[in-house]
Amino acid sequence: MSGLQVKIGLECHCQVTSLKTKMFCRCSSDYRGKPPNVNVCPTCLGLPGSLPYLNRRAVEEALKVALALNCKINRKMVFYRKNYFYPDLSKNFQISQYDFPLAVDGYVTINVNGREKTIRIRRVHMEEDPGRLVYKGRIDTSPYTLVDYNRMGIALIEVVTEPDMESPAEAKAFLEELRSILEHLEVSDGSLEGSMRCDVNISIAGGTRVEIKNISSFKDVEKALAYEIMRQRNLLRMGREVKRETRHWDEVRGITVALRAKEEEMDYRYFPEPDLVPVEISDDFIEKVRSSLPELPSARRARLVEQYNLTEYEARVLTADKQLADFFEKLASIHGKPKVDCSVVINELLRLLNEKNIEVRDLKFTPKEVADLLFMVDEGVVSWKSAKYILRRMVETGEHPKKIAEAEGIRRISSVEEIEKFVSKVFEEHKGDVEAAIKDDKVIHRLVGEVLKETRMLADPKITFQVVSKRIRELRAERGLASA
Amino acid sequence: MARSELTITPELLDHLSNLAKLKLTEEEKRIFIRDLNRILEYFNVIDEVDTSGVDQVFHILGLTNTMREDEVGGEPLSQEQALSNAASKEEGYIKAPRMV
Amino acid sequence: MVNPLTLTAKEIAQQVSSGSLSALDVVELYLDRIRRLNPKINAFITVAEEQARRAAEEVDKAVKKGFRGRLLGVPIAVKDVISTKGIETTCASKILRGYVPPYDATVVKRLKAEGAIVIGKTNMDEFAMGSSTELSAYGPTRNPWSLDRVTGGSSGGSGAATSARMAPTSLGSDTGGSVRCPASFCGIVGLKPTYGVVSRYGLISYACSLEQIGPMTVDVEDCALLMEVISGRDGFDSTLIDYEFRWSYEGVKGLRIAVPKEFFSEGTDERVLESVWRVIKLLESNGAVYEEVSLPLSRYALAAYYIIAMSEASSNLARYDGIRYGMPYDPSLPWHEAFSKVRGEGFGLEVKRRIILGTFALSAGYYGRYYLKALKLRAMIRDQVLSLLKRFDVIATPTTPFPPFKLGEKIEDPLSLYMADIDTVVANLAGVPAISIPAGLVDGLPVGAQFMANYCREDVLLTVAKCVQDETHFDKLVPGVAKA
Ligand SMILES: [Mg+2]
Ligand SMILES: [Zn+2]
Repeated sequence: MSGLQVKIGLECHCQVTSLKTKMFCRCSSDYRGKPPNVNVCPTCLGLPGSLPYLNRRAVEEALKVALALNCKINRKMVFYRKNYFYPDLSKNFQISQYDFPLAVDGYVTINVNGREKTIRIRRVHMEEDPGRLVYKGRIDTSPYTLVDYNRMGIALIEVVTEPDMESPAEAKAFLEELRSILEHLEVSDGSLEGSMRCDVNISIAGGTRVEIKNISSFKDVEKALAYEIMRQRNLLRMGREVKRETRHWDEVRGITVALRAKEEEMDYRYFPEPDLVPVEISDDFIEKVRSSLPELPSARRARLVEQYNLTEYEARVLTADKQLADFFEKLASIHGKPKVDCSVVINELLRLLNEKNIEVRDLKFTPKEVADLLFMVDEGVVSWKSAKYILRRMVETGEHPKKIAEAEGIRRISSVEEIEKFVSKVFEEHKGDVEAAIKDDKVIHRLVGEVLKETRMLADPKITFQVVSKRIRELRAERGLASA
Repeated sequence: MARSELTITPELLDHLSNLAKLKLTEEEKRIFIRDLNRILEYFNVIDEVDTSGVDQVFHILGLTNTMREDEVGGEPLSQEQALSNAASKEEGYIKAPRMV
Repeated sequence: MVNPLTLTAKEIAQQVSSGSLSALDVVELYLDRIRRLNPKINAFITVAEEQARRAAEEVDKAVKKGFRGRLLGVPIAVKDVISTKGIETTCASKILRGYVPPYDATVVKRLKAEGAIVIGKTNMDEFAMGSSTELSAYGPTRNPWSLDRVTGGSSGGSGAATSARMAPTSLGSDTGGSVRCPASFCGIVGLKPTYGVVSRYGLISYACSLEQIGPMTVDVEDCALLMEVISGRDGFDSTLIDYEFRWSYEGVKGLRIAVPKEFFSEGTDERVLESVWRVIKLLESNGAVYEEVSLPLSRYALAAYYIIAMSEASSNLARYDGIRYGMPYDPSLPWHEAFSKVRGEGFGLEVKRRIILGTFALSAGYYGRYYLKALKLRAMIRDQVLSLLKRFDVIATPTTPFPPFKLGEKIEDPLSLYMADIDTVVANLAGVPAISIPAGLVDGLPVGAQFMANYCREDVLLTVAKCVQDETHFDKLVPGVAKA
């Protein structure tokens, strides 16, 4: 996508998943997997006469995020009403912030292909999550809409960037870093479905700003941006204008669609929420929260490089997912070979996670079991190749590696006598290859391969090679031939 | 009142009634164009006061920092209670109109 | 048998407590009066006959087991803007017809905890928007003193019910004078407490930064008793301040009264002014001193009040969309048209007028000129009132600029109706407590004197009221229709 000046800004909505209750009422924040409309009270249901009451911890959690994003904290924070009608909002306004948000003017450093870049944060504010809409099939053909207010009122932290990103890859890198920060702060668990959602705005030189709403996972952001850049570029190429508008990301069809003009006519009529009082944030409070901040991804990366002698790249891959980094550190502390352990985690384990589309949290085993597996390799009990197979079975079944090895008869064959039996069999069955090998060393490898196959890859390849080579040398000697 | 002096023109009234999601009859629109401009004219008396340098009011007594602890409680409603006043429902959901 | 024309709430509670009266007897007595008088007066939208009987039986049972409460067996007429669990709560609007709240307002919970009985829900101007109780979807309430006159509003049903002794006490809500105006027109006592001392949880919002629930009673001590029960923090309304109501009557000697000339100018009916002066002189003869002063910014109070109230209302009333409660939406339409239709048909003209004006005052381009300006003006008015209250204990004014007017007289002209609030809105803007007490009759119609005091000084207002009651026996004034 070179040769295009693209500017991308993001508005990220992150659920505060560390809270026990919603933002403005005492309903449980644990709404996932419940039947519809069982996690509600007069306040989140927007019943006439109900009132909001602010959750103190929600403010603390948001403050952590603002500090981690290097923001300036406003000493006075005020909630505003954002007025717009939509069936997922029980009051037809959203309690959000406008003037006097929690924090402004921060930054995050991202790394794309080894190049560092600073993305400025315009503001960090708090707001409430709307309810959930369910359609019969597609939104535009569903004969009616079903509403579940269980999610209504969950605390959200909104992070708004400046339009500093210049490619979908940069946007993706920013979102990964943000997610990792939130996870390190233990404010938000990005692996929970719908816990991180995004609105993006994008403009291409020569066009106008277009907003895309309703991107329900960080993963779709890159796709939506790529689609939108293509769409806008095509319009510009054909000499048509890019309209300033709000579009929706249709994740099923993988395209962005324009909204109808009449609905789009928006004027949020923000005004201070009279049912809540301002929050004054003292220097003491800020310092207290700041001093309790845990290690953040950037610091952790530096430490991983230093402490375990990892590369920048390895450290970055690990910290992109806090749980992955935690897994690695635990593994390294037990197994004690950080370079190997890191390779196992980011090459083998991560690949399996991606392949099965699961999260570290979904694993049915701990770093201890992986260490046990690696000890088996170290002791020569199983081959490296078998170990990879066993790891896959561990991900699938959660069984202990020893049990898997036993059940499937996986062990490492390193006894010369045992290997010699397989060699004899292969030499009997591949006479032609044996003849060729006597004449040409290169063919020895073919025989080694056949022997390994015969042992279901359990034989030690090095010993197998030695045994096969020795046999060939003996055959040559019998025939009075020198080494080929 | 000459049409050009109206603050609330028929076009603005349409915009406002769309924002407020209020379908007005022609008769109501006629009444509102007349009344609202008279009322606004009365409201404009506040132009006489210089409010520069005055802070806006939040809580009138200046109350700040009322927050609660993060503990589950309050007045939870059962699904039956939550749905009891909804005209239309289906399998525990509240039914809303179609989106398009 | 007891005489409801003379019995106070306090006396009822004492008699039920001592066993000389049963709660059920009391309830039947008042239900009987309601049956006879309400068809003429239309003070009640809902008479909670069954619920009241059941509650009375519960109280009687509890009394036998030793339960005691400050309002044992006392029937209370509750304005239909206050949520009552299991009793239809309509706000006098078509759009909420059939709505049965699944929860009690805090004030209702507290009344019940003291043994009080909700006897019915009283008529009002739709969503408390009005000053005459003519703007009700359930027909106007008629003034017991003259059935072709208005009761004032918006708590006219509570005013009329109390005045005609269909209930010994009642609750109203006061956003810009809605307790005091009908108290004045119906010849009873009405108190608007300091902003933030009575929970609004369960009070269906009109303009949340201005309104408070307040007692409307025949007797000053009953007013104090209700205040004692309903005030204080509840953990649901975060705008509540620390407050404990205490009052003991020690006379008005040395009480300093400010008489602001702006409230005594030509715009006000001469006979009303004479009545208010009579009250001031009476207080003077009991040892109080008065001084004529000026409150120049009061000139802007009505405009500032309406701008703020309408703006907040436009947002507060957004939730009525036919989905979760109230008038059903038309399922054949897409959501935005369905919303517009149900709201267009469900709200009355005045409500729509205020929503449109409030939407305007908050909209882009007008916010600064109207809403924000009004908020700043509000701060200036508050400061002017408070500075006066540094030198004086109370500020005395008429409650309304005219005596009760004829039904239909002002209904075509919203501005002239708004003028009814001209003397009362200052207290709501400043957040100070204010009381209206009967100041005598003009042509056989009651008029009120209003007193404002400093924050949390409801005790001073009750002292003034008590002094006047002892001197004039206004509590013995009973409208002819109620004597039957
Ligand atoms: Mg947002
Ligand atoms: Zn809730």
